[in-house]
Amino acid sequence: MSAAVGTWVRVASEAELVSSMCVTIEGHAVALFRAPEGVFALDDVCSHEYSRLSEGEVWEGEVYCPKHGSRFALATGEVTGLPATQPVRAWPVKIENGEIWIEWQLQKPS
Amino acid sequence: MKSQAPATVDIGEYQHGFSFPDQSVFKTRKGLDEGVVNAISHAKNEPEWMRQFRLRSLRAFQKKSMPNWGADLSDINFDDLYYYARPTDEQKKSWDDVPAYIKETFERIGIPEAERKFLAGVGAQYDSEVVYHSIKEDLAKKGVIFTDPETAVREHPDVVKQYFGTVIPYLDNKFAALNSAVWSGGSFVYVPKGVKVDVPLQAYFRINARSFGQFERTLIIADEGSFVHYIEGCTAPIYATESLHSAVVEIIALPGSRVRYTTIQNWSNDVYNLVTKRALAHKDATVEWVDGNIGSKRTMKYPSIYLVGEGAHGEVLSIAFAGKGQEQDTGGKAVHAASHTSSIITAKSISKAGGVATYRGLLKVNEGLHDVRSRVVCDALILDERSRSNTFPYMEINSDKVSSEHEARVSKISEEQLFYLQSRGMSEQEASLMIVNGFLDPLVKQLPMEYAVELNRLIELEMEGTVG
Amino acid sequence: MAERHEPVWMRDLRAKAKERFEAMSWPMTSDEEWRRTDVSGINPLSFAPRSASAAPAGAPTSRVGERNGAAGVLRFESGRLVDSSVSEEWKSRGVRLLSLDEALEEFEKPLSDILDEALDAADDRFGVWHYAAWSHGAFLSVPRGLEIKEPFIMDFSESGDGALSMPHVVVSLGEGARAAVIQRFRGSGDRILCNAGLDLLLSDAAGLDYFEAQDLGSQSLFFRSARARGGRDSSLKHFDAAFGGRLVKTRIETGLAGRGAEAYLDGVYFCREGQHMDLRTVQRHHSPQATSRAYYKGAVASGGRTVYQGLIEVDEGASGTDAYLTNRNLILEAARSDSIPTLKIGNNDVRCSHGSTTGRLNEEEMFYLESRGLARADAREMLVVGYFEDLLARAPELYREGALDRIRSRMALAA
Repeated sequence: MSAAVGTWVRVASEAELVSSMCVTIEGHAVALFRAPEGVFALDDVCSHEYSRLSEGEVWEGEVYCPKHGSRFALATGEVTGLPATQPVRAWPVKIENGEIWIEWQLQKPS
Repeated sequence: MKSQAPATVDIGEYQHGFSFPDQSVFKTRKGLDEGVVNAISHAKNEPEWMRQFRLRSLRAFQKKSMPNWGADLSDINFDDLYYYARPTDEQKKSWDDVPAYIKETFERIGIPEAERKFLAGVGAQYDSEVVYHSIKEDLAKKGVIFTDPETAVREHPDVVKQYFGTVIPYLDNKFAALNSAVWSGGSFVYVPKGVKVDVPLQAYFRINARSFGQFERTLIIADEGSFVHYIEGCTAPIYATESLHSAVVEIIALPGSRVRYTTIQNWSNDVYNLVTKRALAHKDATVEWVDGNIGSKRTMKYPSIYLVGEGAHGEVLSIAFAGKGQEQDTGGKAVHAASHTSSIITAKSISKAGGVATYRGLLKVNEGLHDVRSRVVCDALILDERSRSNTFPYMEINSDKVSSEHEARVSKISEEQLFYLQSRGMSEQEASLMIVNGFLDPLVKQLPMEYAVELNRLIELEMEGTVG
Repeated sequence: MAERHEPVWMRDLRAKAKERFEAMSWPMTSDEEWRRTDVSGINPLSFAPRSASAAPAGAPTSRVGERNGAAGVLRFESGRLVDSSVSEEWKSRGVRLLSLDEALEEFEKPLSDILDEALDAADDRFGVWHYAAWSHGAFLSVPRGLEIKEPFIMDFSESGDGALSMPHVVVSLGEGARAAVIQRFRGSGDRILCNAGLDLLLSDAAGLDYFEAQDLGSQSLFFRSARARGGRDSSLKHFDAAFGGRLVKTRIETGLAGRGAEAYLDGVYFCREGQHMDLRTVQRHHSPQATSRAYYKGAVASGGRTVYQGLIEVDEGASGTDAYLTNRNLILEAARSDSIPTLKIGNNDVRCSHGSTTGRLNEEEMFYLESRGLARADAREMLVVGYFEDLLARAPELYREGALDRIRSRMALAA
């Protein structure tokens, strides 16, 4: 199921998400995080080298990539610490009736 | 053939065979676990956030695996090292207050002279702790902070929290994690906006306790438009058991600033020297690493520059000398994350008597950039048949408006040059030395004079025994 | 795999390879040589080997005997031999150009040695798989002292969606022999997995010019491992051109095993959107006074990715080595190019260096051409053709024209 503008896709139940997990939407890996500030979704693959952010630790609104420690803001995907120099995509999240939804938008390279 | 006495060097100045019976007053037990880390944090009177940082780093160190590339590190036994010792109870301000045996050590490697003539301030380290520290008055007036990191954590927590561990995260690699857990001593430098520090800031370190590890941590912040030159040089006595030196150096060059960091490393030949050095260069900033590796049994060190602002420029000048039993695995990395940036990496190495000199480097250019220029030149001289040289450069270019060049050459001393110099009356040893000095000259020229002199003496000592 | 009548030694070789194959897994990005080429999304075993009796669609247009000035011709269509001929003159003097299965019996001695050694040297699953399951191939043997100017042509045309093709070529030159080969892989829009192998053996003082071109369909996967070994005073010139394929991973290794041996590895590659090319050259100096050069030039257009890995390795005893490695990359638009030229030098009496540059078309030159009335697309084409010119000038006309043709057609698509 894909559309030009964002489509809300249910990816997991709240109960499944303890601290972090990885879900796949149309072959694309997305990391979900539960933090004191809320539930967030970022591209799972670190922008520095291949590594899964869903396996990283979360501190003060940032996720630390387990491979080399690159930091990304959970809310925006912005890079907040080296060695990564490029952001990762942040996905809008909503929670309805105990289910976690992500606004999915397939971006084709032009 | 008549043998001639070595010309100008007084060999006596370079006896590394002296050491002092261990006067460390407080030392943790061997091995590394939470108890040791807590003891270190407690001994330094650290705030809770730093203690937590150390503990998280310890967990990362325990989880991470050793690198599966690079120099041979198989002999390191982490459980058999001491990770902390403190020789005196308080930081000294004046030279007169420093205990005699420490003074003697430093006098033998030349600090007082240097202090009088060249230095603005000295952070001298003995067994991990900064013992003696003085800051020249005018620097203090300009607002330049040059102190040890422990003092910085206590007196400038906001600045430290903002930058500490952001350039080299504790997860970066196993040895950065180790340093982040047990760091002790090093330097903290902050240069305010527009201030230019004319005289190089220097520090010395020593390893002295048997099986001791050195984990100094340096953080340099050059605020907008400022300039500072920091020099790091170290010597160590000879011990039979392995020594581990795992330092971390982070540099933040804010817009328009310039930082030069010079190192002459001459650890004795039982030391494992595994260092992570990285700089962040913002808009129009310049960072220069001048890195000389002469000693140690194994060195793995790749000073890096991340060019994250337009107009930033980075340079790495690297000299490596690999003699008998040594592996120098060094190089540099330049990561271009902004347009209109440039980088130059120049690496020269000499291998002799079975030594192995390896260049390892990375040039990376992110996507969507333009006007990026880079040049890497590696020159290796192999002095005899038993020695080796390797070159592993990685170039990852993801933008089209880029020009990058990489060149590497491997050779030996030219027969013709040797013959010519010998025909002018030089012995083969003198001629070889002259050629080697010529090979290194472009880099040596970049060093402050007393370092150039020290380096030349070191090379001369290393070259002895080359012939016959 | 269809039933084949092969001598025992070949069946044993395949069995040995199969055993090794089963014990290995497909390369991962944690393996240094595969770091930049991720094959985890491919299922190589899902490609179907062709049965020996399968005929390609349409009748083969074989004209046995017509060679157009070549010394010999061997043509395969989808793994089936459709043309094979050698000039009478050379045949009478001992030259053999055969399909590989025909050669297995008659040339057991040289072939079993060559292929055994090649299997031992294979270090990843694709390489080992090749020796277990190679499907067709060519064998060229030139006896000592014979010097043949006209080239031998080996043509492999591949089609059949989902087909698996594993061709192997062996060229063996006797002492002082000289020959040239032009070999091509051609394909259509079909999705093929081609896992090819090449073994070149040069005896002392032999000389071989080997021109290879790969232009498979844009959906195909191409893996190729080539090995060459040259004796004293031998001279090898290998020219590689890579144009087709969605995923290309090739390696050519040359061992200089005799004093005075020479090897020149030249390559051109042009990678467009949707293509990923990973090429590796290895120059191994085992003996003294040998010379080697690798010169690879690539262009990558929008959305393509190229990786070049080169190695010069000099053994301790190889004094007097003269080795050089150059890689140049032209990035036409948003594309990725990685270059990793490396050196492992164990002897000091050497001249070894390498150079790598990456850049774009020169804006000044573009401006000049456009100001002379050339449309931008034509100016770009001219500059790109000019970029490859120095390398292509070293190739025979027949080969060069084909390569230029490919380059032009790609420029038209990339514009």
